[in-house]
Amino acid sequence: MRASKLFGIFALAALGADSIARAQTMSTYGTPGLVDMPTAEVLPDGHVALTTSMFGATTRNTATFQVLPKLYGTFRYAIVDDFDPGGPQDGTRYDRSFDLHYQITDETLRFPALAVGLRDFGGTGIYSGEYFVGTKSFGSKLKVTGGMGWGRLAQRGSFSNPLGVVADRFDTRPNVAAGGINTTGQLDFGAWFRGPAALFAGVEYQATDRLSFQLEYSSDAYEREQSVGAIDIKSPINLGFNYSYPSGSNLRAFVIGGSEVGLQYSLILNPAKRRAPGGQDAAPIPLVPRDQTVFANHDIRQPAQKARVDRTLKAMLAQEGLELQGLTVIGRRAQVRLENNLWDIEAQAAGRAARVMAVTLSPEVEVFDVTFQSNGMPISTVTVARSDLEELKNDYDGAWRTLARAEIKDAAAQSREGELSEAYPTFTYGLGPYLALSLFDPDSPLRYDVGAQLTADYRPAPGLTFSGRFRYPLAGNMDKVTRRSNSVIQRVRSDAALYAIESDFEVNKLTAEYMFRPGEDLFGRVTGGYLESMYGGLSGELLWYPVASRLALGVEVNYAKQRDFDMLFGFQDYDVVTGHASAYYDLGNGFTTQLDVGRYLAKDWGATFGLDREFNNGFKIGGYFTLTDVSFDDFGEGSFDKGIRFSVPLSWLTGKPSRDTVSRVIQPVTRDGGARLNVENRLYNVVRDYRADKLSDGWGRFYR
Amino acid sequence: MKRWSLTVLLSSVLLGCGTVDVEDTLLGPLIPSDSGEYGERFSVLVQANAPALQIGFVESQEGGTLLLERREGAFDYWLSPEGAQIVLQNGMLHSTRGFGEGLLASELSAPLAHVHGLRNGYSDRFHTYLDGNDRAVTRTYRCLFTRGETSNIALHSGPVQTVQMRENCRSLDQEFSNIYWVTPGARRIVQSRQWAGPYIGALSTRVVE
Repeated sequence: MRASKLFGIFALAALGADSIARAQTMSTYGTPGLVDMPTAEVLPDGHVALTTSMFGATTRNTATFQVLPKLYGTFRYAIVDDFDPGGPQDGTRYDRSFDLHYQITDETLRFPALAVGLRDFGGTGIYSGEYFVGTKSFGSKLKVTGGMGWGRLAQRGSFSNPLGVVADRFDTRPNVAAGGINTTGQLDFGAWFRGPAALFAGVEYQATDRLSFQLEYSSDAYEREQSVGAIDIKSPINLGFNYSYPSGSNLRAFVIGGSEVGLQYSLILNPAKRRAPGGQDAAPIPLVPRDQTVFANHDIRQPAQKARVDRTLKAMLAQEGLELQGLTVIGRRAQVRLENNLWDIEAQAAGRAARVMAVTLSPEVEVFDVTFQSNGMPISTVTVARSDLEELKNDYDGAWRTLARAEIKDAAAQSREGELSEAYPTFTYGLGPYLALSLFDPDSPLRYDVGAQLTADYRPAPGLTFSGRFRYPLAGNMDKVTRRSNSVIQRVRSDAALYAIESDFEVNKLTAEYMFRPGEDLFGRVTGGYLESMYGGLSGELLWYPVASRLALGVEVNYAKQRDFDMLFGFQDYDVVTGHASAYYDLGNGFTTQLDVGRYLAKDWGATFGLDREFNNGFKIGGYFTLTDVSFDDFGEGSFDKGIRFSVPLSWLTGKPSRDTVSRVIQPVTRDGGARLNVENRLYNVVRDYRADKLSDGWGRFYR
Repeated sequence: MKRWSLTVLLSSVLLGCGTVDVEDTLLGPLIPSDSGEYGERFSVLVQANAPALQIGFVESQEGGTLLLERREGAFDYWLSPEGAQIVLQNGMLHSTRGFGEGLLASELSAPLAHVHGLRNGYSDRFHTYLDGNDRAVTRTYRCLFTRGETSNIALHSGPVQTVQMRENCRSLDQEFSNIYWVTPGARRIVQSRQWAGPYIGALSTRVVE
């Protein structure tokens, strides 16, 4: 991750605030709520809320995502000082937890909204609690909430569980933390809605458009924190004062238990809304009548003209961020083969390329084929008629009408006919900063390295790329880690600290890669060398992905050998044959899913299931989990590998086109079970951007 | 320290709240001076002494001069120094590019008929916007044209007599007003105040001649 991406994260926060959702108050747990207690409310569909709250010895950092209109999920990282007196990390507890909240019914004129929720359903259990809650508005200013809680939400005023009438097992709540650190991460099915229950209630009053007050009777007594002196609770009443900024930020002061004063900041983002909907990028070139094009009076099919046409088209496409690699003109049809280095919305790249062809090529050319290539490998061809461009360029429904007339086809034929003489070999390099992050080390929750990075790529022929990435850390604290892996299985990932400590100048990646088209709808990749920071070896992949299909299937086989900790050229003894069969499916409505079944780095067999919600503009949020034949005990803390991930297009933040993204996978714990090789350019992600679904999704920008 | 290092991210969020400058200026100075400061396309127009159009953004109080990159039938393509563009159809705002607003195109035949006929009455107009999620969404507005007073507009070449045409438009959730100053003879819009969309609001135009 480059330094610019870190700035991107900060910019995301600043730029992406959504004023529509500013009225929603977030609890100290970072979910729609009062002070500590939840309400039955939800965020608008697809919205993201980032919250940090601080009071007494407690800090909670929370991200909540409204996955579906009625369902939100939450990830929280809490730090509670003095939670474990005499324990490790100076008694400080670092706690990662997940919540789920489902709104059963929306509010109606007569009836309240009703919701059910699980807090901390798979963490260490310090916030473990469940609830049913109802919220009703009275007029435009007053909202009343009442609910019943279990677990932590039944620490005050509890009574025997009314669900006990259903079954006796609801009467007692097993101690979910009894298994120690090794049981964390498992779903605590057996504890949900068990044991005593308690009631909670509260009101929210919207005094002005900006200012609101919250008052609640809390059923959370902070028993553990009180017993160790980490908080002083004198009253069951909590109070909050929330101020909403026009930008969508919320700043709040609150009082917990009558004595602990806290501060909270929340930011609510709408990923489905670019800050500048039309973008800040330059306007496309206006079309001209055919008799005024650059080569209006030339026969561009004459070989003598080819060099001139190539040169002109290449220069004009370069101004649009497109690299021309080949041009053929046959009869009334012209094809450009190009690499898109700029546009994150690929349909916009197709529109720009077609425009350049329209203002350049001679009048008799009627059909434009724009073939997108990646690393020289052709992927898809977009075909548009020149007369359609001319007719629809100013039509108010021009984008969709053009799409209806366009064709998107597989570009399987890997012919080099018409290739520009200077297309190969290519050599590119870059020198810039990099930033590497490591989260959630209890000794220092945010570890980082910054330094200089040199990248170099040499491509002697289409699809064949020699690529290197070298790093030299200049500052950071990655190498200050004192904690060592306690993994009882092969340490395939958990020795990350040793790589940071024992390396200086680092050969991060040094590979030879060949990407090719074995046939129609088929894509191939072979990569060899130092594949990633921890492994070298050989990787081969085959993908079947029809151009208009929702389903893609792939298979990948790798031989990987563990690299020396100095990240230079040596290897350790451990090697493994690892690989997966993968199925990718577009579920529609922006949801995509991926299933990988196979053998992982520690020679464990299992499967990974991933689900992502991708907005049309490329903003993506998702999660995954992996279950393998490594037992929960052997896996260690967290029980199995899982994570959440996001990817934010830089263009979403800046309004300017870019294929860069700010991406991150957040794993609560990095262990050795279910670990995959991090080989670059896995084919599905390379190909998908140019398949019919993605091109159609972005077609609104064809004339942008 | 641990606590604070982790909350740096959200603290920076706090500092970042409020308005954000996407660009220092949306447009260059009123009169283009040194063509070397501009994009290549704009520089060519400066050298060629292309016709100019003054525009202003009503909400941000910023403004500048655009140069005519292309005229094709009823459509004029006006380019800013930074490469942004507005397209006018017989003087009426048809689309914008590069100013952040997502106005892709408009269907203006009915309102143009009112302006050029200096006629009172109702008409429909259609705007197609990019919605922030890269979908092109068409919105329909019902508009009432009212012929206003006659006045003189001061252009560089001197005062020009105009008739004011006011267009009040509304949809279910949006409303706006456009004003056109139209020459009674050629029925040409020489000055206007027109709503582009929810992102940049209204902009003013005045021909430079």
